[in-house]
Amino acid sequence: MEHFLQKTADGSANFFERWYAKSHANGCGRCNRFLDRLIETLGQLKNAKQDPASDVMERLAKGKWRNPD
Amino acid sequence: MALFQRRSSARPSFDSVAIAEIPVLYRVAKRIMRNDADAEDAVGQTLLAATKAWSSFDGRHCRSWLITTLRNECAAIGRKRGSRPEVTIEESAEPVAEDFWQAVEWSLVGDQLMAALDELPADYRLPIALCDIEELGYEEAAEALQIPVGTLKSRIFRGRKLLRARLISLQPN
Repeated sequence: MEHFLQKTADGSANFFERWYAKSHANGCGRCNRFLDRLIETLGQLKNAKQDPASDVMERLAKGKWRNPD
Repeated sequence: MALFQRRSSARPSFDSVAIAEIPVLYRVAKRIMRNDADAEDAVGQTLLAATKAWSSFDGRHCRSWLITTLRNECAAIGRKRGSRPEVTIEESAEPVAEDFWQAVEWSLVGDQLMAALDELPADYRLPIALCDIEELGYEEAAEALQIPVGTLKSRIFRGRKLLRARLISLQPN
């Protein structure tokens, strides 16, 4: 079941896998909480994504690769 | 002219690709090297290597190709410094209790989450970084890491469990 719940949380489950996981979770408090927490964690991971600081970005954008020879 | 335009639209310049991919490369480099200076070095070396190889690149899955190059450059930097390769955890490592997901309090901030992620072995850290943070598809991430898709999926699922265990250990009693 955990496999289906993980796939449902990350969006990779197909229609039947998602239906099976959600149907089960609706009747199972433990799996329902598991799914909610995992969705929340994955959302937090995406939100924790930070762009490089502007000085780093500038150095990399103007780096040696522009004149490789 | 029309042919040139078609070719141009099919294959963007390296310059535009590089600029667009720097943030992703830098974040992935940070997950590999786990410090800012080495990550910046690795991305610089990657762009240099990629610009030289750009003419021979087939144009498919550009991000995967750049990340593969990045991994090679990170490994080269590690070798130069004489650092040891990271220890790999076997897939059959101690299982985690099924209900441990529910034990975490949800007051975590991004920095804690990233710190917990950085404590995972690279075999689990990188699949999570690519799929759950950078939102690459399984196939693209598997190509970038040069592993089969099935292996990638099992590492992601196992890695999430390990991450959860780390998050629990970070919480005050």
